[in-house]
Amino acid sequence: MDTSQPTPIVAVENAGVHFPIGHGQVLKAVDGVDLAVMPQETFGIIGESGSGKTTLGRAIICLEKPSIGRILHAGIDPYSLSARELRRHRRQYQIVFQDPNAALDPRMTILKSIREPMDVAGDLPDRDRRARAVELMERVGLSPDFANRYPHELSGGQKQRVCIARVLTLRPSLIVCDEAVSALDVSIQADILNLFAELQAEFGLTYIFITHNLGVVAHVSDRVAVMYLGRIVELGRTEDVVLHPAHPYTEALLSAEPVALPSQLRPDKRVVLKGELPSPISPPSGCRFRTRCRFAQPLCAAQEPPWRETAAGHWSACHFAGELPIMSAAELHPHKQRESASRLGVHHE
Amino acid sequence: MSKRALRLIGSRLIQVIPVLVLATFAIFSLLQLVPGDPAAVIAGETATAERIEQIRHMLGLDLPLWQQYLHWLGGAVRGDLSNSLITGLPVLDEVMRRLPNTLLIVICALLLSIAIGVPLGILAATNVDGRIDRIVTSIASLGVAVPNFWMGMILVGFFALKLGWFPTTGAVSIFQDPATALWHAALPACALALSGIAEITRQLRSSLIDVLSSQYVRTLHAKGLSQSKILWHHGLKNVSLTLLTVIGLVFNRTLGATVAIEAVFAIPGTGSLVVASATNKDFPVVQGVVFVLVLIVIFCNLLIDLLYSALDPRVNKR
Amino acid sequence: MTGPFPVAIGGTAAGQAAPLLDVRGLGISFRNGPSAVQVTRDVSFAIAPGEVVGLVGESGCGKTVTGLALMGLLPRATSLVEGDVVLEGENLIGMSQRRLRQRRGAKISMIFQEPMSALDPVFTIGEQISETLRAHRSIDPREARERGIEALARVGIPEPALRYDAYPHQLSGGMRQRAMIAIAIVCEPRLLIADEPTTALDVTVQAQIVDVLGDLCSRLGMAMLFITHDLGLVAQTCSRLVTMYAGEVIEEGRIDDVLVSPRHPYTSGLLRSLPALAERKTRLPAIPGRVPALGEIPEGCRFRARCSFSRSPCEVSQTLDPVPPAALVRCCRHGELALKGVL
Repeated sequence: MDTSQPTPIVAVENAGVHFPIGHGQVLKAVDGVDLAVMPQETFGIIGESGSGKTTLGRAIICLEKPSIGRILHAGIDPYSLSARELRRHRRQYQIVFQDPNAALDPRMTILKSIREPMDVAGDLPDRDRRARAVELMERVGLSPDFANRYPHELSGGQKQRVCIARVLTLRPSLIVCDEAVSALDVSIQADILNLFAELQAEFGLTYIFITHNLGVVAHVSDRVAVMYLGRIVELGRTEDVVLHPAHPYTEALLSAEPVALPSQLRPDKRVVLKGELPSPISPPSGCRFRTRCRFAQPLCAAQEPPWRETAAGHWSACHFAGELPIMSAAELHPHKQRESASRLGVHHE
Repeated sequence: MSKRALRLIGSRLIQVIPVLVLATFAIFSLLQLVPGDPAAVIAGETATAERIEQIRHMLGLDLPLWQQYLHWLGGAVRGDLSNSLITGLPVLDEVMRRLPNTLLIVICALLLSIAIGVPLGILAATNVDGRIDRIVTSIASLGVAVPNFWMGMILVGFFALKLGWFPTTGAVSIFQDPATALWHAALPACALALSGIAEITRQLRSSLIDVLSSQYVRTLHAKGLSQSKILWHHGLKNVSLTLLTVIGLVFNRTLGATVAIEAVFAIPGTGSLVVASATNKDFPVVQGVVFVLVLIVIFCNLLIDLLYSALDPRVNKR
Repeated sequence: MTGPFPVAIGGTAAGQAAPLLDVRGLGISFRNGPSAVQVTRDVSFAIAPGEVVGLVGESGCGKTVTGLALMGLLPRATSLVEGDVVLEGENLIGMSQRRLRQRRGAKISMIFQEPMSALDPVFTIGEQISETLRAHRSIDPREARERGIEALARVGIPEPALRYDAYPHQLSGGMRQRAMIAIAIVCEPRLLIADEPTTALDVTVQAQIVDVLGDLCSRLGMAMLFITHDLGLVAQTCSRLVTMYAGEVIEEGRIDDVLVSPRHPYTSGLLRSLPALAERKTRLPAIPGRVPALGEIPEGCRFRARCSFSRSPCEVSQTLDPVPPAALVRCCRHGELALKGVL
């Protein structure tokens, strides 16, 4: 082991989460995923429904037990700890969910909700808990007047701030944000994303940002993994994946994402995937994406694609990675080319 | 028949045994608390203590309780419901003789409940919070609050005794004289139907309100369909499943309520049989009645479940 | 190139010759006991035949309620609608229910956000398509079935004859939405109102549905009002954009113009807060404050409390002014401000 490398705060080693669904069938929501998240980075996981991204996020913080493989937290397997140690350990790894309405008890005041984790942990005296709760409320942008209000009196954005404050009370090292801004209006999203960035700098947090929204993930993440039907199909630094995708699915996602640009700056070519998501209970043989891939070859059905590093730190699972005529950055994001060109003082007409 | 239906029937048949055992054992145990001694009843008022003891021994009443029960159960599963302790006659015959009278008033009550409850429920749901709705809801609340035997007495007092339109007591077998049988069953069925009407009205109203305020009804309006088409074609089909379930519940409840009604109207049915036998601690008869009624209830509920899965397209038929 | 969507046929806000739909001063209120709460006010816009117009705003701005009002689907007992909605020369407001029903589904149709809850679960797709046909045309069952299967094929459902007899729960989300579109267009309406039709769908399925809609608009010459909060979708599909805020229309214009040089500070703020277009890992310029709650609408400009450009003239109620050649804006300072857009 290379000791000069920092220990990943989360290391997923060939992990899978399988759900038996009767009649001898198994739903492999996550099926063989490898990734490592470094301290204080923002790691994005992008995928659509059925990709397994939410299940993976839940497995990372021990809400689901991996059926195969393991998930290490700073080198330790949480399931090797005793029940009591695990309870302590889990406080370091928290999650913020998509729907703040469902995440807050409607019968508890805001202050009570925020201090609940500390009340359960019981480490601090009562007065300190209250102080920390109020301090965090202000930190996330909620006036202390909200302390005795109930969730139904708050807006969606405010409720999400309450959930964030609650999660911070135990000073976690890692927060999984599972579609944490997807249910919010665009103008509120920007606020919450800014808040996440500030908190990361201040508290040295690591984020795993799970979403289906490419725009959001491209903006906040340092590295991103693209998931399809329980597997990761591409992983790398955000700029590399978004500007120079190696996998046809990533290309399709980027092409499908609607961007608010005037017609002269929108890409001419579009890749629209045909067909439907196959059933996760019986995924296609070989490469799972082959039924919708515009480059599919007989090899894709016969063998599972290898997980290869096509460029430094840029991995993908495709037999033909690097050889395919996937759309270039200029074709996918013409506005970016124009922006950088105009910055250099060169104009295109 | 689909595999699912077969599995449903199979699981019900398996359920029958423990339910029967539990029900009859519970009744048997409760009966022990009833004061009285069947042996003394048979022996008569002038009997000596020895004579009573003799009869008790003959009837097997001096055996331990669990043995008495198991003995009875052994016979029951073979179809032999033993004999009445008092009359000595086979229980099964007696129950079968009386069952049609009870079932007649129960089925009439059920039909009445549906015939009145469904239109009332629809009326209330299509006029939510309006005057009609409030009237209907009040009627339904009354139906729940008013005890059916009291209603029975009121009906007898007014329609039978005062107006003389209906007979006050008794029953006639439907196989012998259908018209007279129904005439006798009319008032008891009305009394029994009261809570059934209330239940069906309330459930249908709330279920229909739910359906009519759902998203797909908005789509139906957007398609340009008329309100009556939406209500009668779409609305009813969607509530029919809830209605089916409620009918099952009402049937069960009505069957249990026959005990009081048969007393008021002096109908020779299973309800009055079980009351009389319980008073005498004639446990084979009581358990025989319970046995038969439990079988009927399980069978009817199974029928409803099968109908339900046949009608609901969302159920996986595999 | 804007993809499969038709370029507007003479689509400009002002100087419209015979618009298909002309909404004038539409205001919607809901009765709350003795009083009434106003939800939208003075909503005006027009749609030309075959044009695709986007109605954009965040939650609570009144866009969905406006769409429902156009269809006459607001509950009669509790809603009050004022203003005019003129479809092909006929005013839909105040029209009898019977005459409205004749037009709903036949001339003007609507599709909704959640396809699972928008379809009746106990009837097949085919039954739901054919009943629309039979409500508006006298047509025999066999022909209805043929036309229904044809509609399913037109929206890109594979094996349409098989799917015709399927129940909604047997189809995937994307297929259900296509089925709902098929139901809405089977009578070839002149205008389709699409209320967040792709919000509940995956982004790759969304792209497919957007293509289906564009294809239908071109082929049937159908106009569409695309209601959404997603500015990217509007950019992709619409030729004109109407923005709503707190129950009012605050801007209208050609899509390319609005995206590059918006005239209202809210539109500008919205465009600039989009993470997709901002530089990576930078602080997003967010609009401070919140949308005013229904009972707390301020006097004067409704956006004033959150606007960095507000001055004393903003304390007066703002009117929707034309900005030649083809725009409208509700901001007294629009002439002075040079607002930034997506670039």
